[in-house]
Amino acid sequence: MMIKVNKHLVGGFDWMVFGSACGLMAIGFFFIWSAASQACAFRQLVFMGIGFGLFFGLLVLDYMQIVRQAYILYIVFIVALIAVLFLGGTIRGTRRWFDLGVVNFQPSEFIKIVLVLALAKYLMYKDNYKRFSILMISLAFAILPMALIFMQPDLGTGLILLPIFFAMVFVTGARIKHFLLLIPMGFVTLPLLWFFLLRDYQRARVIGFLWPSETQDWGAAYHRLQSLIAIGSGCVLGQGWKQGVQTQLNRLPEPHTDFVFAVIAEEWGFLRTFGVILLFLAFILGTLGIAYRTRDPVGRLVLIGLVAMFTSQIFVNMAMVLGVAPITGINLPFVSYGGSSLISSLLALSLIINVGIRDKIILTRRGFR
Amino acid sequence: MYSNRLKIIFGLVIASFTVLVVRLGYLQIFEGAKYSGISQKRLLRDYSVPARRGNIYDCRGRPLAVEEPAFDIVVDYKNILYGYLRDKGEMPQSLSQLKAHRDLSAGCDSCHVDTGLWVTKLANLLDSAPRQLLGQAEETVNRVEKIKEQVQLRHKKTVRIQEEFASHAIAKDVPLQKAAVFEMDQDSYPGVSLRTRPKRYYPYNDTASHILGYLGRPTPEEMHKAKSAIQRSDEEYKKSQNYKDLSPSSELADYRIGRAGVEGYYDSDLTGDPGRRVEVISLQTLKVDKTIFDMPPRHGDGVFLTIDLDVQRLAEECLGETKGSIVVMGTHTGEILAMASYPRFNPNTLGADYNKLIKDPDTPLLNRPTQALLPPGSTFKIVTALTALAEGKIDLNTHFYCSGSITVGEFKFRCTSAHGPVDLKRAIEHSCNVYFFETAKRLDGRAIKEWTEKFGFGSETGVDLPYEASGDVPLPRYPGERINVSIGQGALVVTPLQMTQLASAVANSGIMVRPHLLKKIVADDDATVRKVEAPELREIDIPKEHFPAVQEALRQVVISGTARGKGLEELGVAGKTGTAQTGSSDKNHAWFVGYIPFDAPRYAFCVVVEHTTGHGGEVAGPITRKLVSGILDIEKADKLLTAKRTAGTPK
Ligand SMILES: [Zn+2]
Repeated sequence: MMIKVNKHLVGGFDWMVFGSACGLMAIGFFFIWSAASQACAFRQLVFMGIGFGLFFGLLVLDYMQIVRQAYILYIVFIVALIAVLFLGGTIRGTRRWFDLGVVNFQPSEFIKIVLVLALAKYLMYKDNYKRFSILMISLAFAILPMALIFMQPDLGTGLILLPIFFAMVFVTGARIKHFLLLIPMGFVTLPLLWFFLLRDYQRARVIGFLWPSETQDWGAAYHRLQSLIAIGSGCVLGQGWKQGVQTQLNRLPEPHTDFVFAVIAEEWGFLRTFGVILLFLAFILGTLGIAYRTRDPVGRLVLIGLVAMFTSQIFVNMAMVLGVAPITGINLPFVSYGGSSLISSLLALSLIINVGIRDKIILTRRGFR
Repeated sequence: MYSNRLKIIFGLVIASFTVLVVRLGYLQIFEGAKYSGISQKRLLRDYSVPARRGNIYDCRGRPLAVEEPAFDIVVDYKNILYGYLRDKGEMPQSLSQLKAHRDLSAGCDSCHVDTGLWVTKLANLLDSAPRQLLGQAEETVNRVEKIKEQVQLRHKKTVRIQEEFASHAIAKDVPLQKAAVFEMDQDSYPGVSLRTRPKRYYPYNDTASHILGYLGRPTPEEMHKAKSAIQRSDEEYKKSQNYKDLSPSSELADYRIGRAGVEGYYDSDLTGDPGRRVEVISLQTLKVDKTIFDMPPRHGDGVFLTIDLDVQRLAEECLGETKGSIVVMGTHTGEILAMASYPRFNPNTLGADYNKLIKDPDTPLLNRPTQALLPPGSTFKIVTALTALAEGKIDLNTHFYCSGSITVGEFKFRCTSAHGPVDLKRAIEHSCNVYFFETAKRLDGRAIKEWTEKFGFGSETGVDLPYEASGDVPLPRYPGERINVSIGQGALVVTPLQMTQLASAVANSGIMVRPHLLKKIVADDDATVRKVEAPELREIDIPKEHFPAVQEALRQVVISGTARGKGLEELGVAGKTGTAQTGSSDKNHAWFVGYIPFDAPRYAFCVVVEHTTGHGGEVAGPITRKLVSGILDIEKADKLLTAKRTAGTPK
């Protein structure tokens, strides 16, 4: 019996999703090496080890078992987000992590996944998805952690929660009319956000991005320019690994975390960087493929949430590096240096694979009947 | 329903990835050449725009340190290279090197004939040997070619670097007249131009030189700190060291850093933040095509000092050419009006004088008021008296009999004369040692040390100058040591500023002020006040009733005591003389520490002449008289002026 299940497990294992994620991590390893140091890259390897441990550990459980615990997880992480505001360590004036020795534990990296699970649990028991109240309660699920993350203050990570909400509610079949109703609500809350939650430097960044001539945040403008120069000097073929002038002269801000994509673009050039983007695309489309195939609506919902999370994160990060979005401090999943973000990405990957595997089991079970 | 909405999600994913790829392709394929630095048409130049250093003013706004233009003669790199090659009479090491330069200037072949001639012409103009200019040229060529070589090694192909398009200084600090002559005849020097560069100038030369300090060249670490106006971590710094030759080295060639005095202490306020500019240069015309980043510099702030230039010059004049210090300080505020030290240096010629100055045995670079450590002599009896009063070991009626000396154990300690029966007031007035010896016997060593420290001795006063000395308060264990300390001898050493602080504490009946030099920091551009220094007070826990007796005694000192007949009585002075032994039998430090006016003190002061043959009152007394009458004259003139001004202004 065990062997049989294992065979099924392997059979449902989505190698495209898994392989592209591994490829991205490998690329991340080498460019962290180039941008920061060998030691940094090997530390990332340790994070990968921890992440893979959790990856396989989580695979043993049925994802439904995890979804059932979603509310508890949600409460735990909301408490962690509150606690980090008071007890967390400080990086450049923001409080967003706990020091756990090996890893800096950053609750905001994990709340994204927890939100996906909690929304899935909330939406799975609803028989009528078209009610406006369901939309509003789902929104509340997203707004609460978002506000807490804004207070750290971390604008970017907080905003990633919105696409997750939109995508999941959208796929369950909420009325478009109701979505349109959210727009005026957004206009009402936007000034509140602007005046109460954003710090001066964040306002300066947004203004600086929208109206560059008005900006006082010269640092951000300079970083944007240096990033553009790095990408531009990559040209078609790149300057070679560890050969990028911009990277090696440290003209890039956060070259091994938020701006690692600029390093790749400079040292690898357009052709290979295009390949990296294709890997990301393969990962996302593979996940969407599982979502399309699976017969379990809950599993599909989870996958759509994760697709929204990854896509928006990839898009916002690359758009920032490419100078078409403000500098918000979002890193590139699987590639950027960082324990919390890598481990949370691997946990998300575990869930994706999990849905794929269990779906096969459901299918075979039905086949026996 | 699901599959339809899934398709929309799929569409959104494809759309966002398409946007990213298009943007990436645009940057790397279409705009790539512009940014890559190896383009054949355009080149990026990234450099910092220096911020103007703030001025230093006295309390009435008279400039004590200002930025003045200095003139450098700069020559285009191309011409430097030709001059250098012509002089060597050799072909360049690599043919491609010359070819690259020739290609570059194909547009102006006509002027190439005499590109190397600037050397002789400039040498004539500047009355200097052509060899000297050529030496500078060689240095420049070596530097630039080395950078170029490294860049080419990295790119594995021939490139042009920004240094090749810049002009480099060949003669620095050209006198104004020469600069003017050059300016008029500039057309006959192709490729040569005049560049102005800010230079620090101290209009009053050696006046207040120790307070103002001077500027110096930064160390590599400081240089890096200045370069990274946009923050970088230490780890990143170490890494960038491997590539440092790549960054434009001329960028911060004129960067200076405050090394001493106010220039050093308030360096970050005075320096401001450099701006940054990134320009696209067209290689065809060698002109700036477009500025793509232009962050203006934040100019340095002006620093207003509490120093009154009039009082400062008066104090320096009073000191004359004797080694010593004078400090004048507001008793209530701690504002230092004057702080004179002799010998001094001239910060305008410091570069040339430096080697001589550091070898001078009289240490002219030492700011004596805050850095000289001297035994205070009898002036310290003020502290001994207040300590004994506070500890309750003596009162105003306590009398001791002075027979001219006292024997403790096998040592005999002498007094200045036989004073007979003396109480505290008479003891201070006539500086009777025996009285304080007897007092010291009653005190224990720990109490002496503790109270001495409460008056600010043994620690820095916190004055806003770098490298202040803290002095030393020993713990007197044996009776002999206690006796020595009670009259300011032995291992106890203090700075003149600490003694001034003591004088103000007595004048204020126990309230200590922190001496300071800063009045306010004001933006030089728009006069926005950034910081105003407020007085910092600290009360010593001695009952107030102990002070009047000491204050009266200090007044008696100038009427009938050790400083009588020096003209100090008429000027309203109260104070204490001191003659501190120095080790060599015929040399003393002559002190006078006090405040004016005795009944409503405004200024505390300290006069000390080091290594003199005379006694405290004899040497420091006349200096004090000149100083105090000068201060009162300045005050009077001031009042007259303000009275006139208020009368002149209509109501
Ligand atoms: Zn005596």
